[in-house]
Amino acid sequence: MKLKYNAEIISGAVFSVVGAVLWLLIPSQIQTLEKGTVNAQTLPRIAIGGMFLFAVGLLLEGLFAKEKKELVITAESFRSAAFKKELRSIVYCLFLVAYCVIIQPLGFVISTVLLVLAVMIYYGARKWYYYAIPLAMVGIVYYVFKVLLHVSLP
Amino acid sequence: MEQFLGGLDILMQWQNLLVIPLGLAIGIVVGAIPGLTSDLGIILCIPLTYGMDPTMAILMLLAIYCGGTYGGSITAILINTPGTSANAATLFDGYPMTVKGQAFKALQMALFASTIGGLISAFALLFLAPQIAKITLLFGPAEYFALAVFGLSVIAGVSNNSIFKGLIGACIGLFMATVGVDNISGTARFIFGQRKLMAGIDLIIALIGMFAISEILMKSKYDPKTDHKTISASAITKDKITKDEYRRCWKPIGLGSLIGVIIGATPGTGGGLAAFIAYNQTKQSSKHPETFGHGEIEGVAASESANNGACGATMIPMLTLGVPGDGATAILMGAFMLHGMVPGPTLFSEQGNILYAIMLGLIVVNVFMYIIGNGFTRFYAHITRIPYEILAPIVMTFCIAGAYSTNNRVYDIFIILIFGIVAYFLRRMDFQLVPILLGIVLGPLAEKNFRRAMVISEGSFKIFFTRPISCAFILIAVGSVLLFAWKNYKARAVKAKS
Amino acid sequence: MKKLMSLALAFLMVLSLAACGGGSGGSDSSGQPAQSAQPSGGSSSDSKWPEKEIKIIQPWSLGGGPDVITRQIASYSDKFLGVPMIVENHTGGSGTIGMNDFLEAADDGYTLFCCNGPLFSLTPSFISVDYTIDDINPLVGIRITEFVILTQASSGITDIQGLIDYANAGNTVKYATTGGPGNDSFTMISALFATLGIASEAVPYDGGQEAINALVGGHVDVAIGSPPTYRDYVINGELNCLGTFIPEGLDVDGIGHIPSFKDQGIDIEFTGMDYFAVRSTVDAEKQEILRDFVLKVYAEPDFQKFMADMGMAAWEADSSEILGMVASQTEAMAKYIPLVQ
Repeated sequence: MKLKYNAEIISGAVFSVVGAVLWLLIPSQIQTLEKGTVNAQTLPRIAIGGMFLFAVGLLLEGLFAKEKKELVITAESFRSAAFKKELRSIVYCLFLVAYCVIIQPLGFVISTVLLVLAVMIYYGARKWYYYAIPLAMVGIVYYVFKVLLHVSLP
Repeated sequence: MEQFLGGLDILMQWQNLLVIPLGLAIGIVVGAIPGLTSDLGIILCIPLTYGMDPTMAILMLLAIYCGGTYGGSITAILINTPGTSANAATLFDGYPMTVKGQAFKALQMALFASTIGGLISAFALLFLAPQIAKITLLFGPAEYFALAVFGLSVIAGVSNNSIFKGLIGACIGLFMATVGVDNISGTARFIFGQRKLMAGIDLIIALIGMFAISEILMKSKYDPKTDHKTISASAITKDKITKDEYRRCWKPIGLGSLIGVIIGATPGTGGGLAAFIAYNQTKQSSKHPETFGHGEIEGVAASESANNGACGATMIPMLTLGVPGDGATAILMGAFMLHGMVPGPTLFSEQGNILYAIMLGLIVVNVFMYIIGNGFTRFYAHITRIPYEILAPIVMTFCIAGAYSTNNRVYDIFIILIFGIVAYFLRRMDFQLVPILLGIVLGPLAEKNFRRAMVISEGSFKIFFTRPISCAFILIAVGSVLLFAWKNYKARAVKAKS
Repeated sequence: MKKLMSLALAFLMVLSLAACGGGSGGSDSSGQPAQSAQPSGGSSSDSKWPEKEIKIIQPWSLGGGPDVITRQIASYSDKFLGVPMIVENHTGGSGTIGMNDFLEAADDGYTLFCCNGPLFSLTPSFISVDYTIDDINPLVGIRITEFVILTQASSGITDIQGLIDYANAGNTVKYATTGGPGNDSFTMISALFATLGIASEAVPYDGGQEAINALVGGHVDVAIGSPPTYRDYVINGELNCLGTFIPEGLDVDGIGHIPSFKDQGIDIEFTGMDYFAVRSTVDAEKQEILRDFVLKVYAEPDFQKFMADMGMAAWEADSSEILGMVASQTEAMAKYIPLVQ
């Protein structure tokens, strides 16, 4: 399979869809009783409408004015180094999503320690004291916030 | 004059001179931690000041405020994450300087520019406060709207590679700013049935997510085996600012300080906007605009002098009118009241001595800031030597704790992580984050005042052009966009020829 | 060597913290069930209550009137109760976000709420809420807020009749409020103009001082204010007071008597109030301890001077008095809200 693309096409397409969806959501998400022509919907309409129009502009620019990269998708490309690097950043994002899920049941200390460990292993840190410093920092932050600053972390 | 001397007398007590360095140190440390802002530093230290006399208490809090505004530049320069919203413009050239190995130089310039900006601002507060306050009162909804439009015109200058991407970014920011309850109509907007979203998205939360978390994600391809360069301790501080660079930076610093004072004195705006406008003006008036964004020391000088230039000036409307210039001064105002001083038009006649002590103290604060900052700069510059696999989890811990402490809400932690992921993909698509930030900052200012102006003018757009200050701002905004477009067109034409 | 020592120390700290952090995290997250398992009356007979820090949830923003007073009161906690009292601002949603966080907290008496009347009498008409007045019990009053209507001295309007004449001359009165619909000042001033039947438009601002400054700057014709925002301007002759919603009228230091709208023949009244509340299921003895504490603070000369400097006075009302006022305010609001919707 052959694909021609550039950043403009992708982002232009994404934001024209996002803009269109948000535009359709305006009446249900902003119910205003105001009678004037300028009301609570005015700025959102300008922002979202603008987003849609500029995204279409970007899409057209990407299609006709900018150089495109060519991507040939074969079974090989899933094993390439570049693809693996991309996958790595997705894994990193998943760490953060997982953190959102565990923060409430496990609390700040345990979930942050897990996140720190995950990130360190991800980077492949080997020396033991490399692990100790950020882990100690979690404890210090917790202590400082809780005791000195009276902010009770979850 | 009598009050002036009385104030000097109060200021010169040793306790007062002792709390200033303490406050500065707290401010710089707090400001330099992403997610902790000078606002938070002030809130947390207010209880410490209960036992102090008013002058001492306010000076300590002011020192935190100034120190925090400078301290935020440290992380902006070193790890591409603004410590507070006022330092976002420092990212443009501060971090590229670090990448070029000039971190120490950038930090030194940030400190120098912050100090000069702070001093000019302190003098403006001391000598011009009543006059500036009168001008501030002339600012009605039409003027605020025009100011916001002027601020948004900066987008043209900062989205140099693609104007469409810059404009989409601004629209994203404007949209995000509308989430929550609209204060004018009382209507909830885009809360998707989530009660927690009614409070809207906090600026500092959006900032941590967009800049700090996405920066960590941008480095997800970092490999400690190949990417980490060991730099010797001595190499870090070897590269100092040259005489020529100091001379080049005088103009940006002067311009930045002036813009800082003007914007700072306008309630509801703050140092972040001042820094963007100063940066943009410096870039436009420079003979070599192409070096900006690639580690130009003048860029750091302009933005840092502007945000600290706003520090003293935000106190002007607060002290004379009782309207805080930005978030931190709103909290400072609370502290003034706690110590029995109610800001407003009669404060100067009733508590003149203490006020003069505080305003003179602000000058001392800025002088001390230079001395203390110098010590910190040497220390902080070494952060660049920490291997990234250690730095990343530490920054992340601070961001999470900082985000939570802003409003005591777990849901703010979700927001920074989600924003971080979204901002990461935007950056991968070559989007600039600054237009988004400008949209978030200026959206509410523009919208509220546009709607207020429309009520006052009974629906006529003429109000923006018949009022002189408003008309001037709009003309400058249109002019600077046109100038930028023309320069861009010329540059392209030259390129096409060659 | 030194480096290793500090590392080891830090590590130990993390371990110990992780241990206790895990413990507290467990009990925090279990939320509602934990309360029923652990009866709140358990330690009440113990004279040592309170044993840990007390939290005040503040639904209004930092530095505002209620916030400043609350923080001042909290600063006496170490002295009188022997434990710190911290104020957390949970702002947004016209106070409902703070209210919900407060109702989600345990009913062990360690969480207080800085409450007001409109959260029950007004807000539910604008925002869907799932609390009622029965969920809380007022502990003690904080202050009464007196809304005053002001004009610029240069306009020559000194009373309500003057304003009516101004409107009848074909002008639309533009008035600055301290918030939008759902806000008490907005509702009252809009209801006033609706009652008077004059052409008017609201210009909502954020907070009391902004509204007053809009008037001082000449951007609007009328503004609503509460002490201390307008006092200085009236004393130095820049603003005129047209009247107050307090039915008895109002006496302000340096200004003198401000007549009520009732006295001027308009059937409208409103008394704003801030008070501390706890969940209604909190032990009576604990409520008594907290109430005593606040009253002790009110008796302190330092505190009285602080309030006087702000042009306010502490309000010592008890639970039944506050509940009675909320009830009559709710009744009155039922009349005013249709006027402004």
